[in-house]
Amino acid sequence: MSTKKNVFQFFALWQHEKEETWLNQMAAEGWNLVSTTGLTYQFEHSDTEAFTYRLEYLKESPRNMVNKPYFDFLAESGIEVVDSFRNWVYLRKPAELGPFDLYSDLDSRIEHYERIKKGYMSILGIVGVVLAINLWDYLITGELPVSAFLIVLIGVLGWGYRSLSTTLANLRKKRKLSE
Amino acid sequence: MTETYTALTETVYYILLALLEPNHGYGIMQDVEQLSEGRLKLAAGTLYGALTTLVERGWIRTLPNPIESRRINYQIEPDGRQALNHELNRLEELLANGKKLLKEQK
Repeated sequence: MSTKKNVFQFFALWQHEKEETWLNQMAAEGWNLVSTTGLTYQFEHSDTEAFTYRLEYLKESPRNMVNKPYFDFLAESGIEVVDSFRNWVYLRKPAELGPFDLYSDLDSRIEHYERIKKGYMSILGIVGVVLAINLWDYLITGELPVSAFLIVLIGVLGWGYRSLSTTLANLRKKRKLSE
Repeated sequence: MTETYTALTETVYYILLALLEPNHGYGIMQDVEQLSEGRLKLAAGTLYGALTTLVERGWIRTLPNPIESRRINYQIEPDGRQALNHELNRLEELLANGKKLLKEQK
């Protein structure tokens, strides 16, 4: 059996929890993530090494040296950086060292989602405007299939915004009653 | 500057307690888990964020670690100690009122 494989899988920016769950399912089957391009995932099989994976959206690019003290800090409890994609960093911790969570209170969970939303908004701002201008052009020239496609794209972007906003609103509501 | 004290979060309260003596990140996690008898497990991201905020606020400070330069030590500052004392008074009030009123109900 091959010990390496490359898997194509798409997750939108607001689906990081889904992505995390998927990576941990792969890990449970012995397939440990070793690198990613954001769309493709490279795994290595191991019968002995088990890991828990977590994704975190950082304020600065994970390649930026400002994150080094943070990564050193994580290393103290056995957490290692696997790879990064844009501002996302893929982290893992050997299962034998115990459970692995990045956040233990609502405040930090809310801050994380605020960072994700801010990052998403900066993309949405540019892509949304470009899409809307194009849609306008295609609509007045009567190119319906392309127009329909653009409307779907804009809809998906809007859905992402809604998804992030709902998660944040729910966390904030919870925070009003407890930490 | 006079500080106005509001309630500390559980995370901040326990971090300050764990920093009455110099301690590093992983040590804080272990101490807090032990102090709370396994109830509170501070996660690395949450802890790092809180430590950064507390340093900026001047409630704790970083210490150079002579043995391992990558592992940063932290310790409480007078302002942090004062915040802890205020919190302790507040908690005593909460506890006393809760006990009193719940007992009256029985």
